[in-house]
Amino acid sequence: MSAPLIWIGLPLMLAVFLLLLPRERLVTALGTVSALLLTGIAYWLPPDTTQRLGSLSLRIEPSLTLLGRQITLDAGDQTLLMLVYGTAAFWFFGTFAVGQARQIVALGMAIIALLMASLAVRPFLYSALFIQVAVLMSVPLLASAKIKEKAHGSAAQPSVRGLLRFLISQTLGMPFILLAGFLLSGIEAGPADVAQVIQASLLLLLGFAFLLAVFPLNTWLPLLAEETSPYTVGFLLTMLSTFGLVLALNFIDRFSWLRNSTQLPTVLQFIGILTLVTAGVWAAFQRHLARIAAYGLLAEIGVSLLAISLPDRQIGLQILFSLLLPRTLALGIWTMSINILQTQTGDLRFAAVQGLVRRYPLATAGVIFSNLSLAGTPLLAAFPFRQTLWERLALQSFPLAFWFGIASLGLWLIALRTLAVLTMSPDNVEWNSQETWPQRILLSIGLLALFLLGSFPQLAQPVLTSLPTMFEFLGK
Amino acid sequence: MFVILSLSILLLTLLVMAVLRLTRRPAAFSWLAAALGALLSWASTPLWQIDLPTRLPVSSWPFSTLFHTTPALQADSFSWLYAISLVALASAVVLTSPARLAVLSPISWFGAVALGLVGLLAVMADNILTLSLMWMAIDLLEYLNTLRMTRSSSNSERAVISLAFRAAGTGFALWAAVISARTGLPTSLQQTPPEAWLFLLLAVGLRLGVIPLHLPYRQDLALRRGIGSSLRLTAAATSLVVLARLPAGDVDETIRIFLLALVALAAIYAAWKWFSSSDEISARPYWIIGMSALSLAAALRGNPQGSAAWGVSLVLFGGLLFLYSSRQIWLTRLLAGFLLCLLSLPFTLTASGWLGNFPWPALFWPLFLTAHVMLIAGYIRHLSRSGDTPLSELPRWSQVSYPLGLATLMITVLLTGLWGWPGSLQIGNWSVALLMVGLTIPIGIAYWKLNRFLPTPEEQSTLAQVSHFVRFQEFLARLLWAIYRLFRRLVEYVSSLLEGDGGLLWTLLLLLILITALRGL
Repeated sequence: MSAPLIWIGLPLMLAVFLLLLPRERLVTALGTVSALLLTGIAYWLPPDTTQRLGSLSLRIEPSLTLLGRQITLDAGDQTLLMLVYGTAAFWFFGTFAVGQARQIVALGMAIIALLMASLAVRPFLYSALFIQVAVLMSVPLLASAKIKEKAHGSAAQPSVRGLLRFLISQTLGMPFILLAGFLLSGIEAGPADVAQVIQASLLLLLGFAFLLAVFPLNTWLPLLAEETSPYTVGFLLTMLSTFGLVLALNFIDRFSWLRNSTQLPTVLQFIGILTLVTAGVWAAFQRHLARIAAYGLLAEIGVSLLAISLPDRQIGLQILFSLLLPRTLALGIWTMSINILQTQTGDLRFAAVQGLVRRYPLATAGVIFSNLSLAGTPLLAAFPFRQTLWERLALQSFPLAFWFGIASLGLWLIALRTLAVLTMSPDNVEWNSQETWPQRILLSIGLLALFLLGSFPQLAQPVLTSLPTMFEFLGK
Repeated sequence: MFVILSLSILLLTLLVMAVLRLTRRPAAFSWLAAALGALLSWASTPLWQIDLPTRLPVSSWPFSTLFHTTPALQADSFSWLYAISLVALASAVVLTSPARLAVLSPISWFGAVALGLVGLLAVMADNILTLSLMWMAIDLLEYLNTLRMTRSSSNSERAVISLAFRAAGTGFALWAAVISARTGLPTSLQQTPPEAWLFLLLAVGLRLGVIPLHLPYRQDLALRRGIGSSLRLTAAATSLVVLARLPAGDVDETIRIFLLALVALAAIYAAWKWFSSSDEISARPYWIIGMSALSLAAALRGNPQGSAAWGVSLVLFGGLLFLYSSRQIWLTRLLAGFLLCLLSLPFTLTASGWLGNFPWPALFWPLFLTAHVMLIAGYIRHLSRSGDTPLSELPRWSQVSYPLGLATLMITVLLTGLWGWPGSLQIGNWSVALLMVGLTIPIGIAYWKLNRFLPTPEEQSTLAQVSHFVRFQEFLARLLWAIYRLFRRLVEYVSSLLEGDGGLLWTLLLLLILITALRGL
């Protein structure tokens, strides 16, 4: 059996099967167990490695040829496979608390498989196509999770502006990356034609700017978050941004002139800090819980770009990958909590969610602590890595560190503002939790994990130390 | 490792209390567990002296190349001093609580013990990172406790504002860590560079817990006396402990004089407000500001022992007064006698308080000594008012536990004056001590004699007006809120442009500007 069949083919088939299942809980259970199984297989039977089981010798072939193209997942991809399917299991499990299992689990499984294929396909140029298919697959996922706004007491038609812009933005990214790949294929070893290199770089930059939703190409994200189920958006965009970043790193790793370019760190730094600061400052003035979470995600994209831009690539990659787990955890809990509040109020504007803490204490805690975690608050999951990134940015440039601080301040401010709104209950209201048991259990586990990772980041070490080695040059 | 013993006792106590709560045992069991655990932990703290200084085996963070700093805990004589006072406070809060609470509150005892535990860890923090972690833990404990107790939306909002100020303090500490990292120096607090020192000072100031002055749950006196005192004093102590560790001698002379002038003003203002307030609980923020100012002034004089002495006095003497709700004449006289230990007399806790000299002695000595006198005068005044309940009216077991709780604080005052840290068994600046005795005794006598002519606290509270400082704070808050709303309108306008029908065009324009800017890099 080949690795692409196990980690790409099987999930695709499973996605179709899950779509046909009648009961939501069954879909969640099956999806979660399957994702965990795929994680387990990646751990115990990594691709292209022979494992002995008594007299039995097991080996998973790394490659599969499809329509003349090769899809390869080798031993270097082991940690990524574990991380991706482990993360998927986390998000799928969350549907126990928020519902929408059929969309998130079934379509989500297919999207993850396609994104995995985008990293595995050779020639590399075809990655953009797989990403585009994944984006198209996410349209029904997002459309099915649309919120019908209650306007003046009657149900109005849901807005689709955010969804359309998401589709346009992600689709526009594809031709840029394809064109850049086409131009770059001629100059893999070294830049012969300077003009061609500049053109390719610009196209690549634009392609990834669209794909990663950096400033100013990210106006669709808050809109989408406002219009659609927050948990669905959280899941989809966490996955898309993670794969987008890994794909960008693959490009940097592959072309030596790009890898060794002196301008690249400066450009990444500029775009990164711009994205981070605009997201942090914009977040500070929002009055809609889902929009705040969207800006939190945008800020994380900026943080990732800043980590890649560090002069010490090894350290940069370690920070980047170390932040993946806290980010997924925080966004998962954040959007799950918002979803729970939305089910109750139907509206996520501050005026509608005011004083919900006494009826939804854990969901409130989920919203606040996740937000604080992504703001780099001590004791919470992202803190150790954000703080070290901040310190390393200060070593490079003081203004850069200052702006990083301003962005974090914006996220802190809005967390405290949200806290003030959610805790302003009418006088003498008793504590009476209305969360369901699955919601309580999932949120409690998630919050505990946020604190545990913040105090003991070494818990994530086994998963994350080997991730940078998936890159041939950057990781060494 | 006796440090671990004390920590383990507190941790075990918390676990036992949690189990008792889950198994729905009567509240009295929880009280007994909390009291025993806190007392045992307090009794074990002197044993730390056997192996001081010592580093605690904290599991360090991974990826040694990645982190400039990882958490580190070190117990030295200063941390011992603060630790014993914090555990004494926790014991006193638990032991005296039956006298205050008509309904027993296991959660407040749990909170007191938990605060004791986190407080111990915080005073042992060896670098800014560890300090920030512990500060945040204390802030969360305080906030959750406040949220649980408040029943009105205005109090909830104030609790968030209070948390925001504390968080801002932690933010400044993190910024100080960033500045320290830039210098590439080792990360210990003792080696903090002067540039970072100032930000840490700001962090300490914001974290004293006195802003905003309109505190939450002010209506519930019993809780404010008990867990409220524990929260306020622990937060202040875990901030002030930093001052004893910082290399204040490295601060530029001009900045030092400027800071001393500011601190002197704060000390005078707070001491006057403390003296003139109607009751000790409302005046508690002023006690904290006043004593912290003395602590800070000592640190700025390059006198870490003095700084620690004032910091610990804030906790111990503050604890004695704020927990003294069930009064009795002999107990009041005993506490008044204990005030001698606050006069910087030789061989007392505060003996080292006035060591070292100020840069402009003719200006600063009178200012700070006046503040000191007013703080003591205020203490005498608040001590002499009638309490909430007479001691004789308490149940018999409470009549035993209540004085025992106060005794833990009194014993700690005596012990720390005589043993265990560099400021103990000191003669100190005896001329200042004599001056203080000379000023305090007449004030005390005058107060006793004139007491009947002064308005009662009840009369005062009806006459009391909101102070200018509070009004200024409220004005500042309104101003900040107006600026915030102004910016929000701006952001919402830009968002509506970018997300509206013409948004794509605006985005493209911004993209072009960005590409042009990138070409210039």
